Amino acid sequence: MTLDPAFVPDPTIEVVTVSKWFGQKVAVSGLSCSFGPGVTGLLGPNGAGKTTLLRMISGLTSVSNGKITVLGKNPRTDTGLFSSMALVPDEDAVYGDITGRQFVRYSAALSNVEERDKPEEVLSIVAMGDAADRSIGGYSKGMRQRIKVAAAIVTDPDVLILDEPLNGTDPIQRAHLIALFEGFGEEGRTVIVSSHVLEEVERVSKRVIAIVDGRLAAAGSVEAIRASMHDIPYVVRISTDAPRKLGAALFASSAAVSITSTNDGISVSTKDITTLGKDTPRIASDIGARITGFRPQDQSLESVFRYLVEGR
Amino acid sequence: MRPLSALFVMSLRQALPVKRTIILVLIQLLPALVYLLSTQNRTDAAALESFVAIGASMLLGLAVPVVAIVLGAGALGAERRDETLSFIAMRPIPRFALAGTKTVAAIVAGTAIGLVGALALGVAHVTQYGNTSLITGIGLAVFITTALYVSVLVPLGFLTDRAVLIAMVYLFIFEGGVVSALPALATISPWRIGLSIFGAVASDPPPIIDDLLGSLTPSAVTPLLAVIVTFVVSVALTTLMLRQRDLA
Repeated sequence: MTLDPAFVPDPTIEVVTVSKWFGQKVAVSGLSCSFGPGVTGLLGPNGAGKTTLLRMISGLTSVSNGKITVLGKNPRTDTGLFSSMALVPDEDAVYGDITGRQFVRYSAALSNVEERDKPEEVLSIVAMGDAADRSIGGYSKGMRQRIKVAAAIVTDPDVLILDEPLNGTDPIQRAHLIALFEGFGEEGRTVIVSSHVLEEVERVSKRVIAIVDGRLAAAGSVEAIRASMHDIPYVVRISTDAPRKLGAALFASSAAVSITSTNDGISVSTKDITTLGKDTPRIASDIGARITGFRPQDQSLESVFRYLVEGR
Repeated sequence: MRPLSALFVMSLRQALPVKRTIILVLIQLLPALVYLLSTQNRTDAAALESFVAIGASMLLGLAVPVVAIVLGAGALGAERRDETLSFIAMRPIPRFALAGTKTVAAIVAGTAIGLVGALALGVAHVTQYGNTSLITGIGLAVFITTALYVSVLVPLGFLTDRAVLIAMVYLFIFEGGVVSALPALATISPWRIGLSIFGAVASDPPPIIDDLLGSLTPSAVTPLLAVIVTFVVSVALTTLMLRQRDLA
């Protein structure tokens, strides 16, 4: 029997038909999935319900319907669970008037971390040792992200939840943090990393849960999700000086499903944007047409996911 | 205990940043200044009456409540507004301990600031009339008044961003106007409850204190009981809200 890709065999976090609504607005709707040791990417466009889901898993937000357990406990009522779980929230949940070192030490004290050297150790891990004595108020966005990560990992959590942790980080910081999260996953911790950028999630994790409009859009390996996305019909706007000629010639490409032409270009519907991208310049060159633009229309992550949800 | 002591120390630090502390201390010094200016060349009896009518009523009815309202409303309200509530809520700390520690920290901070005003008022009286017996009473009254306002304001501040406004309206309109006109309502005026312990502890307080107390009588026990009950109810309410409400 094959397991639904939304679920893992030995879950540490179980989300069972969970819904959350704020007044009339439904943020999460009947979502079921599970998370286990290793890194899982939580993917979805802005407003998809990722943060709400992570906050429910963290016990900060109640569920309107359904059930969530973390390590077999209810995160909403069992505060003892927080000795094994930490959250890096999306927002700037930091005290601007204290230093990074004080912030991490405060986090360690609140969680009763007994190892005295632990704060220094994690400051070094997130490469914040040099800036640790500066006030957090003066930190860049990337530095704030790293100090929040330090404050979370100083508690040595079995479950680490990171809400858009790579926002505002530069490429070097990003690579560093990604390696750090991978390391935690390899140690057998349950790590959830949310993002609205597919490429970002792809770099962090092999397994992805994708949600949109509060519903499960796709789950499984990044490759499987990419394969699902290949079936999506894209509309590509091609600007050219010979629209009719190019439109007729492009029918020779297996990638074109339908073509409509206007005075300054053509719109091509395709399910294989990669092949279309390769065929178009070759065909244009053969017929002597000049291409001045090749722009996929409506290719936002949101539209892609919406398609996945509707097709599910 | 380490998590709670860390929370307590940080809460004190949040409650009393340098600039705010200076402003709040200056507010506390106003009653002593007004008292000094209004009691030049008075008899001991007249000075004692002014101590209560001007100094104590201004300190307990204005300066101390303003500080307690600000600190109480901000105890958890500021954490919620600054989005740091998740940082302290996701800890292996029972919700009632979290609520209790934040409330105690606000009471300690408010009392410390209020005692500056009590001390200044006491010193102003001592330097002119040599009577030190009022300092203990006014100090206790500061503690009672602070504890009552803070206990009410911690859950209110968590519930609404308008807690300070609501409390100020209560202080100035209800306590300042309505209770003055209808003395029977003095039992729900926190600063008058604070003043009642001063009336009980101070030796031979002037008769004007009865006018200020309304339907209350000087007592050492009733104010302490009021503080205990209000504190317990406050912590219970705050704990309930921390459990029931979304902490974001």
